[in-house]
Amino acid sequence: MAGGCRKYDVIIIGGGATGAGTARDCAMRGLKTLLVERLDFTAGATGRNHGLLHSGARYAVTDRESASECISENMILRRIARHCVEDTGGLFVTLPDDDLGYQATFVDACTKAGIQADVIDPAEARRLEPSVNPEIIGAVRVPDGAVDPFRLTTANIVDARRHGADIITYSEVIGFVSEGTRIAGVKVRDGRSGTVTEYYSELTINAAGIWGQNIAGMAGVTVNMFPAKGALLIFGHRVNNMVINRCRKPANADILVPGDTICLIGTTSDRVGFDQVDNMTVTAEEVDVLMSEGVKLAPSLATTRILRAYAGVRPLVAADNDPSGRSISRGIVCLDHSERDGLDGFITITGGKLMTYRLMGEWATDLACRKLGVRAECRTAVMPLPGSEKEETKKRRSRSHVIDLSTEQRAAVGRHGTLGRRILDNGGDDDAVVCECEQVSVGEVNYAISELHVHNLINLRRRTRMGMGTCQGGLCACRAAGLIANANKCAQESLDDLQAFVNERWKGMKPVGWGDTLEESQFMSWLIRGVGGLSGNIEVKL
Amino acid sequence: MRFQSVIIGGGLSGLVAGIRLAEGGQKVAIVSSGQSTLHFFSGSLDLLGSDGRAEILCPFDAMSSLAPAHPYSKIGMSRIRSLAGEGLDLLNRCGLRFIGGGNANRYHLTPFGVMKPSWIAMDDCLTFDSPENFPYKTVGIANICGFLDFYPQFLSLGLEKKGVTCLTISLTSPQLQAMRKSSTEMRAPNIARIMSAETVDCMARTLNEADSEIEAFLLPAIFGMTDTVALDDLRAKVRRPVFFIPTMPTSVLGVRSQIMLRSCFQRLGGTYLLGDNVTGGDISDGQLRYVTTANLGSDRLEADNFILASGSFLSHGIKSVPERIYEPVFDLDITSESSRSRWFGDDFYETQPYMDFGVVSDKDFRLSHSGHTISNLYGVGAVLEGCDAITLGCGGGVALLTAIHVADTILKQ
Repeated sequence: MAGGCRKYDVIIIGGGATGAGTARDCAMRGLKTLLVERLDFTAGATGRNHGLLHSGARYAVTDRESASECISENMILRRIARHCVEDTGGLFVTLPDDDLGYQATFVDACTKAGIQADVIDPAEARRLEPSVNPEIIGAVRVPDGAVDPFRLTTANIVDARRHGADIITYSEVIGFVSEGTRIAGVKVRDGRSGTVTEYYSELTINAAGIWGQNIAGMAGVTVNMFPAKGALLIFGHRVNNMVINRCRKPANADILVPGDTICLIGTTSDRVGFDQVDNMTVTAEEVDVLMSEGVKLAPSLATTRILRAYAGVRPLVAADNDPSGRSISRGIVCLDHSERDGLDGFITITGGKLMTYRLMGEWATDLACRKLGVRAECRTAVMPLPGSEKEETKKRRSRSHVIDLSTEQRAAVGRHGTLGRRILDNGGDDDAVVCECEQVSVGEVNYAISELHVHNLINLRRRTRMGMGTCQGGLCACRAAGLIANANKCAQESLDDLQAFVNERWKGMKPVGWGDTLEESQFMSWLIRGVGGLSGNIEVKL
Repeated sequence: MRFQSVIIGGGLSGLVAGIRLAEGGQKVAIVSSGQSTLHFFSGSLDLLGSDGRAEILCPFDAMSSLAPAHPYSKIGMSRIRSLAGEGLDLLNRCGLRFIGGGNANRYHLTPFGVMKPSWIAMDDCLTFDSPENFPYKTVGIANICGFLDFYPQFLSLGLEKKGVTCLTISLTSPQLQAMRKSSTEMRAPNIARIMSAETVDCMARTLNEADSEIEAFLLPAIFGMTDTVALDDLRAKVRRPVFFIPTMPTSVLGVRSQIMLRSCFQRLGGTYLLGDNVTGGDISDGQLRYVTTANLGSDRLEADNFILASGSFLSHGIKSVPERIYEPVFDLDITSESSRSRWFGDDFYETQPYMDFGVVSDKDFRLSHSGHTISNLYGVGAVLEGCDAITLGCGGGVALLTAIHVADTILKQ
């Protein structure tokens, strides 16, 4: 990927939304950029949240600054990331147990933060969103929406690459190259071969989220992160079409977000130890809390199939003089370690939220440009991401002989925006459906393998939604493993990958293993262990 | 409506019990929801494939160490061997053409190229006595163009590890090419349904022209949905042996088995209520008096004896909510763990405790409600407690043997 040249202006550590957004911004401003990701894009907190396009209303009362950032980024993402965003609208509802007096405080705070918040009649709210608890006594309409963090990150990666950035995944930073008080590069271990390569740069940007604490530690400086676990449940279909929030101070399980074919409820919030951040599991207690609170927002959740449970770790930053984490900011933290710690060539960008990933990238890139003496304007807020460009108005084919796109073709265009056209152009054989739940075609799988850094089934799931549907990756995973084996010419690796993928799916199904989900799990066992005779023995490690 | 026996469930165990009872002269009805685990049958039927740690070579010898709750332990070792032989005969009387059935397990190839032990297999399949003793040095693995549920790569991988040379071949025909225009059409049963003589000709020509080194061909099991005509036709036209590897569901071998067993049952005068579900029944004085079904409304199904052959979780024979696991038709006594966290193992591939959960039965497989045995309600197959079919590799055998055993118990009355 990096070719013979291993010298860059900036090296960005971390392939979440922040790292990808920073890479895009740096590359667009003409910096020679390398992004290094330990595992896969969106493997951390980026891929483990609500997928909520925050209006900022949730933070309006408690954190005005975050709220203002949110609404501003919300409006930007609607323009630059059309294919990643769905304008569902959102409601903040007051339940009979809640204090209706809070509504006025809430609306007032929203207004001050620049968020449109309209009080509507509960009957009107029920008409707009029939799944909402019919007992509600108050409702406020806000410009919430849904955002697909996988798509969003991928689009940023694709654009960074288009502007000349190099991107490497499954490559872990295991140390730094130091020159006196300056960080002059990174030592990267290839996750497959184990070989260690040094890459050099003027500047290294730490965008590793919760893992940024260790990265900073390796560089010899201290950044105290505060790992806060948030658990969520995904339901098998869209119960709601608008985001439903509880109109009260942020608490457990008070947001229900629709997204694509599903909806999800969350979250909990608990501090966890650093030893747990690489292996998040959801407990039965967390599931019970999410369910008991969730049904208060939308009663039909009680009878809706739960596909899986998962948890992410918010990269909250503890204040410098407060390692215990008592005074926690949810705002963006951009640290110039040269000023702060006397360590040159090293920047940390952290805190913030998925919603503010672009702004975080802008701050980090502004600082990088200042340090490198580069004068270039940030254009990430105005240039659409790949896939979200305005479609040409001219029809591609004459209407008379166009039968509308098939379901899987429409799904591909939905997922990849204008880039989805490239899948359609590949001809009939590629239309065959691999994943029935999410309508992923052979063409889309092959596109993802060749263009979107797909080495395994988990990568493919994040790029295409293959295996995210009701079956959680049964037949589709087997089919896709066959396609990946064709592409990478290593059947053993693909077979091992398939076995690992099924196990990873099981990890999320087990906490909600009853009813349909238990039946699906047993079917999977019959299929994979029974008919397939697979025993989970992995011979090649990815 | 009155029958001598009513069977709830039309999968392997329900059908076998029905056939055995009908052969014994009984008037029998089977209530079947339509689908069963037969629809992803691999073509090979296991009796006992593992003790949970290692593969088992001689299933009959290994049965004595099974837990007392396992159905084989209840049947008793003295009866098992003859029951197994009678089971094999019954399947073949229905036209299923199973081979094997000796003292030792034989091996077959799974869709992922794993060599797995089983007791008997349909004659479509290739079986061999040991993974170290694969019968051919060079095989041709032939897939249908555009068929995604068969994996030549993984089959080659498994075979090449055993020193077998694998050559891959693509098969198609004008009819199959036309079929590919629809994006979801290339599934095993759809292909099997249109397997015309012309398509078979086309394929046979390609196979006959294939490399002369090839000693045998391995194809996806997509021949013969309702009978063996297309399968026999292809084998007759190809000049080298042809064997079929199970595909991912829906399994053509399974659909064919189901159809043949059902026809046999109906030929024997059995009543097969397809697409219906038993909704409940009346249990009084220790007896099940009748059952009701969704389609029959107020018409009751009365019988002297009833057999519950409703399967495990995936067949909805056992159900679960966060708080408990239960048997949904009669709320029969069940073995399970009360705490949800004890239903599962952390790793998908380890023994999953929930697979052992099922209805409690006495040594004659009579089921019970609130601790009281119901004298005329029996359980067969995967609904029974104590048989983790996946870990032990005993699903097929438990279905077959408990069905015959219970039918014989009823016939002896």
